[in-house]
Amino acid sequence: MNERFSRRAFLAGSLALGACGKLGRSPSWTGGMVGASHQVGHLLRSGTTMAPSQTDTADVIVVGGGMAGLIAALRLKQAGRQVVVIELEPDVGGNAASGRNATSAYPWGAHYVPVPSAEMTDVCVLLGEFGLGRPGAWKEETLCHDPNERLWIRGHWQDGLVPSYGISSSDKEQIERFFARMEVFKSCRGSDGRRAFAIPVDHSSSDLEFTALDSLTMSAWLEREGFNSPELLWHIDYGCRDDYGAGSSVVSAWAGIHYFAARESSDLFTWPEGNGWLVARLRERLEGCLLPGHLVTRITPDGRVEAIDATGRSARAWQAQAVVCAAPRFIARHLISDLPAATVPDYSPWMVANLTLRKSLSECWDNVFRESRSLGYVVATHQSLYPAQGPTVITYYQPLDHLPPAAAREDALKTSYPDWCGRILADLEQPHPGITEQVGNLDVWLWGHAMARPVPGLIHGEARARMKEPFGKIRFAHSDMSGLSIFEEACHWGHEAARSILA
Amino acid sequence: MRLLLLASVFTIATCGLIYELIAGTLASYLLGDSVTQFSTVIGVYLFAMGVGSWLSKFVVKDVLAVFIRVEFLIGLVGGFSALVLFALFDEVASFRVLLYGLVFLTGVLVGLEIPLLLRLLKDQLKFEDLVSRVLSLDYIGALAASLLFPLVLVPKLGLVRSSFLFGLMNAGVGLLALHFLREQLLRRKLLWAGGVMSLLLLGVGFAGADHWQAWAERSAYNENVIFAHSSPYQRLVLTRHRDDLRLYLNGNLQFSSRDEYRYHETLVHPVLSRLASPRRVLVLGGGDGLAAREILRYPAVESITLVDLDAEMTRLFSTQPVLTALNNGSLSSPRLHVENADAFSWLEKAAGEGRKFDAAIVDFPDPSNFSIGKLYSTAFYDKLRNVLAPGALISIQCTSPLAARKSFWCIDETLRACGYDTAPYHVLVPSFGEWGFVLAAPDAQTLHDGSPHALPDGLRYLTPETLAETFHFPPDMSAVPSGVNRLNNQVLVRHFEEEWGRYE
Repeated sequence: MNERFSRRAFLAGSLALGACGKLGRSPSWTGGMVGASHQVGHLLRSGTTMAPSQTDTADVIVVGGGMAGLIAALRLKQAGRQVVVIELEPDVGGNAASGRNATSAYPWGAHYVPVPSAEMTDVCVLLGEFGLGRPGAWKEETLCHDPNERLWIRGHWQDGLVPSYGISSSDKEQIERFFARMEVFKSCRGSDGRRAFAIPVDHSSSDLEFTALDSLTMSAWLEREGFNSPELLWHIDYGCRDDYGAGSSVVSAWAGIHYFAARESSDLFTWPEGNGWLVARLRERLEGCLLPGHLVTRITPDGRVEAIDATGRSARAWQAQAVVCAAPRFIARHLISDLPAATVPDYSPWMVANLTLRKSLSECWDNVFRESRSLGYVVATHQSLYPAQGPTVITYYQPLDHLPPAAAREDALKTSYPDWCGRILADLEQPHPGITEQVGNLDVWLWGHAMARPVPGLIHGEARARMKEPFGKIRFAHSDMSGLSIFEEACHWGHEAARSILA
Repeated sequence: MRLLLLASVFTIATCGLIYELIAGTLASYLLGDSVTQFSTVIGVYLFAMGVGSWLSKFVVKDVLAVFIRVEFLIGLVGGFSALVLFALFDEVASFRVLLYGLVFLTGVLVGLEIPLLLRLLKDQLKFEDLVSRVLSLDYIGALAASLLFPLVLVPKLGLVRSSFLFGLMNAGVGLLALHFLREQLLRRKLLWAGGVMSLLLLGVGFAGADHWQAWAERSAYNENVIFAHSSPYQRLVLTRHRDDLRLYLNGNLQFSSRDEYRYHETLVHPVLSRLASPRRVLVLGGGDGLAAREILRYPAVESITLVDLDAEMTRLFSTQPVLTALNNGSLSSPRLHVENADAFSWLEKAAGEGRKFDAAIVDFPDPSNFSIGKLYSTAFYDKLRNVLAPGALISIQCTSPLAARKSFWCIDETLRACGYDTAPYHVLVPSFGEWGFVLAAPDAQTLHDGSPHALPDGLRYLTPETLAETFHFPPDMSAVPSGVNRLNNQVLVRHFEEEWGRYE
């Protein structure tokens, strides 16, 4: 839905809200539905017939300006190649999209990067180039300031996200046992000498002892291992939904354990605009190479790329020596006819809302609610070094996993702006009574295909192995190819694509 | 009607005990020694109830009308009691006479209630039923009051508002009786007028209770507020009692004019008196101009850059005569330049412009919350280093090493983790308590050369002897391992909350 259209939809929506008996008056805040251009994107399905008048040349065309595409483009440009990044949206960034208003910048999607271990060289080098320091000496200002996270549980805020307030001794015992298991997994290595659970995923061991965990769901594994504490199961389900947009009954045990066992440090980088900060650094370095607002309609294995501009008025084409297809798979299959590996993962839909509040709400960055389908909110002004407490922006997240993905997408698109506001505020009113009075602006963004779901068989199965294979002059780069939608995987595939072209 | 009167018993029993608890609590707040205050208040109150019960026999006719009047009176006396006690604490010569007078009066009126009610109900019930119901309800009401008071009323409503609330309930009981039993009454108009008037007065009191309480507390704390202002950053309150001028920021005492010289001399001179030629001095915080006053004693100082977030604060301290008298007009000195900015971004900008200082005085509020805690972090001291000239010295106010020992040593440890050489020291400031500072140098091994301090003339506290003494820490304040305060752990704020929390 493009922004202009959605503002109009909002006007209609606010009339509906005015008529709604519950509130009896129009809301005291501004805002509306904003978000990814799925309608333009849907042109792809219907097909388009416009023929480009001329064909330009380029060393490399990168299709898709998300994190993987931008990183691939950066490395290629640094190696002296002439690169064009074609992006459908008005701005690059993909899942790391962000916004800004008078109060603060704020994220629309990905909003942190865990501190990498020294062996994750691609990530470390890139973050170092952006001035964030190096392993063991990361720049303090950009690490998430304390207090970091808290959980609203039984009418009380507790530190940390693992339930500890008012839990039984058997909950406690199971939580300790679970995390002890995860500690063991962290240091486990397979018969090939690789870590059992590594980032990037492709650096993990292929030892069957561990990859077998990819054939059952996280829930099944937990049951098999005798974990049944409701508090522990909630926390694990929260973790899976947070990273994968789907709960422990959907994702594979390998993916579920990866969330807990792949990282050494619990520190993380964050910025007001979330990973939009990284996008801004990439954008600066790729000036002159970016072509946003263009819909790629066709990619051929011999290096031809065709696109139309988002208004649908003009068509362009390029002949490139190499193409990096950095679009998600559900789009890539419409762009490349005869793509042999046409299997597409399931995608989780998400709803993200940004609320501008007149008063600050929390000294904590991440605020999660135990009894909620949402994942709570993060505070955009948390990293501020300005000592006064003023207005703030909070970003509220909810994976839409109450229905199967297709049905959830349909349901989300049918939900009106006033209905979203009602649901979001009802959820936030629980820990924060009276918050509705503080809202100055509330925007809602629907991600139809936010992230690939690592269901059993995706990560260590045949389909993913085939997703990685190049096709003619086309290389692929997207976190879909890992089955996990995280920055480090996008970074890995961006580097891999660039390396393979430069080789 | 019987039910109504029995419900009244419960209500007035609750109200009666609440007034007693309010008086006891207030007396403990204002006079201290809670055991004595509660014992004497309860004693006087119970005795007065006895007097009231005895007096009830003199009411021979119009029992109902007297009961209704008594209700209105209790409502007014009890309802206003907390406010009156707060407000007059500092005004009357003998507060105890007022306190026990009010307690006695309330007790007499409450003591009248039950006998009168018993007489009103005597024709409705058998004697044994009457006594059993009235007295049991009376005691149940007392239980309700004693639970409500500490758990709900004091934390949620506060004393002043609670007392008005129960005053309203007493007056309400009177009005209900007046309404339902109107056939048995003469001269109803007068009673109605009295009832409505009580209700109105108490209603106004209840609605404005926050305002009254603030006003009353000011009187109670013996200080006249001469200036109060809410800037975007903080609430600034200036009070004066005789010759003592005090500044509060967000309710925390910043200085008392009686002993601030001890604090500011000790904050400034250990740094400046060690420097041969401190030409450029940076002050972070310190918008009151008192540290600047001390700095200006050095003729070598060519320029002072004072960075304070709050423009209202620096404006006030450069224009108000009582304040400029205190800081010697330091903020208007041609050698001083004020910049209203937050310290983090100011340091970044100044470092970018290549500005350097020979000395820096860091005088921020205590690290009582996570926002201010960031100004005591390794990230902050790393940034500060970028604007220090070679050989520069700094001093930092570091809360109390006695009350908050770990907090104090945590700041020292944080500075050392950033590569500073440190020399912690402390001074007794009577209005604050034992207070701590850290003298620090950006380069290692610069503070142990034994170079003498050349103190300026005219100091009231520091001499070479007292200055040497400040660097010695007795065992109850000596160094403890406390961790390094980083933005991503904020250990300092956690220490501070734990340590000062014990004093709240």
